[in-house]
Amino acid sequence: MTAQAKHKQRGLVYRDLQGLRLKVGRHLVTILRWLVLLELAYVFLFPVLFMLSTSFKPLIELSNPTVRWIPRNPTADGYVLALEHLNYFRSLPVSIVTSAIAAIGQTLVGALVGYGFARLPFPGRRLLFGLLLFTIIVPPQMVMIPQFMLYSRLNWMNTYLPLLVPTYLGFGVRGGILLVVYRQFFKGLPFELEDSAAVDGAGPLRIFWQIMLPLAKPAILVVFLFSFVWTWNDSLGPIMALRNQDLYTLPQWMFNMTRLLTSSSFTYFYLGENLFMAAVTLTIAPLLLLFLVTQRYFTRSIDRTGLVE
Amino acid sequence: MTFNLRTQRAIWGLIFISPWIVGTALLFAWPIMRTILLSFQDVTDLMNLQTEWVGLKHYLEIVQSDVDFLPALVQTLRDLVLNVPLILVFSMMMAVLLQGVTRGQLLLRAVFFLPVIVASGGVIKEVIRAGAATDMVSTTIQTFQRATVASDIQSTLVVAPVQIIVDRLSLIIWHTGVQILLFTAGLNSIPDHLYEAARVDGASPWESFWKITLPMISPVIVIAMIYTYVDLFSDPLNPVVEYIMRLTFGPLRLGFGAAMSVVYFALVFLLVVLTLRMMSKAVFHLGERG
Repeated sequence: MTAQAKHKQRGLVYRDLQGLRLKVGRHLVTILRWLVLLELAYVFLFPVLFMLSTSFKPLIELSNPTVRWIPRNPTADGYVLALEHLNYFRSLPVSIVTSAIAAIGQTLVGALVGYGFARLPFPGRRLLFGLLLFTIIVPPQMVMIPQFMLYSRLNWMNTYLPLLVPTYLGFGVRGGILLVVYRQFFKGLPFELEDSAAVDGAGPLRIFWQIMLPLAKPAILVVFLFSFVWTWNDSLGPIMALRNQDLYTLPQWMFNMTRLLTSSSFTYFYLGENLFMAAVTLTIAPLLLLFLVTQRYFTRSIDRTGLVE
Repeated sequence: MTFNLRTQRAIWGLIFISPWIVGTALLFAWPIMRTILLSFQDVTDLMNLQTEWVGLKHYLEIVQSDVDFLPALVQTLRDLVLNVPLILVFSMMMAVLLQGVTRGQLLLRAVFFLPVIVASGGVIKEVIRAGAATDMVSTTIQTFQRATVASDIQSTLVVAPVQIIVDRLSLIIWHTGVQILLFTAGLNSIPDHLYEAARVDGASPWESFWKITLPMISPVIVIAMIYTYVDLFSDPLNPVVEYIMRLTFGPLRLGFGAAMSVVYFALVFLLVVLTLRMMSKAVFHLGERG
């Protein structure tokens, strides 16, 4: 073998080695990334898993440190009690119906308002949009007392109207944020669609209804989901409006239950955490279910809402 | 009578946003003025909403005799100042990590979105009380303590900040769901060719993070920051909100509650405006260069 050939071969080996090193390096980064992500996923899942596991534990195992995740004798006692304490078969439909009606209102009216802000130039638009941003950063506690006075003057106390009507004015729970989501989405759509429709003689309402709204499916899904979840979990509105126990929403029953049980310390100790965790699980189960069903579309939709452009 | 297209569109625009205008007037503008007015008044008859003028009484009470409000306020504001940057950094880190994952990204994103569902109510309060968070965090703290004892580092200067962050970890996690979404969407919208060009020019991933990723998502940082503020200061778990709610709906001291929320809002507003000022400079600067 000539010196030149040797040299060449060495060069090839060197290149192979370098390629190997890069490959190993890349795999190492991937492995590390996954380790960190899985660790974090565990941290995120921990409370949910903890909740589920505890809710099925019998009383004896609650204080047994050797039983960590999987109960040895799983029991549904906690759930049986929780169903009763939460008034579940009455409060579940209440929460579902109110959250759904509120979310529908926020989704429909939000689209109208968001489209108006994004695409229909009217005098004072910038100023009003500034006002919209301002409404977002005002804590709801700042305006709740006069709202409460308004509702009582309208005789809306102990009805669901204070939870529902504001959403049809774009003022649901964190409604302002959802209006901005729509506005950002519509702003990102091309103008050509509207222009050609306008040339064909379609008015803004028809353009909105027949062209823009069907395009807005990702934004609609995102707004609906957020609106539903936030309304469901809202504590402020129900506390203000619903004083009569018969009308309580599901989370209200849950808080009611915890308050009742923790106020007399011996019962808390006695009834144990499985009851609490069962109650919490039952309270958020519908939301988890909704999210599981929609999450594939949801995460994709988020990317397409153009929230961040 | 016919209008030209522009006037027509302006009229339609106002029609489109009219529900929101009604809402703003009835549910925002009037209430906010009423709250400010109420903070100078006492409600004498709750049924007929009769009020009487008491001047600065409630504000004086806040400063002079109420022992719980000011500490709660200080704690809330301190929490805001500490938690907002931590939440932003943490969620951006998560988004960057997620970015490199090709398979399973959607599933992981779903997991990281869980807090939005579980924690936006007071639900998490129950879980935390039941020991979920302390369990999780205390093991982490123990690990840190072991590490520090082993290496015999006595300096609290090093340990204290770490400890603070770890202590806040459980809380931070519960407020990152939406921010991770925002950052992920932001990162996805950065065109690949920028990174390719940087790589061709020999930039390391570290450099391209600081010189491409960060400037490109700086507007997202502002959005995420505003969201974080809103999320934290209206959180029913924060001490001020809890206190205001307790006094307003317990003994129905509406005037005093109003005064407290005015003070609270004024400070929060100041904080938001100040940080936005600082941020917008950075964003503008970076935008100008690009």
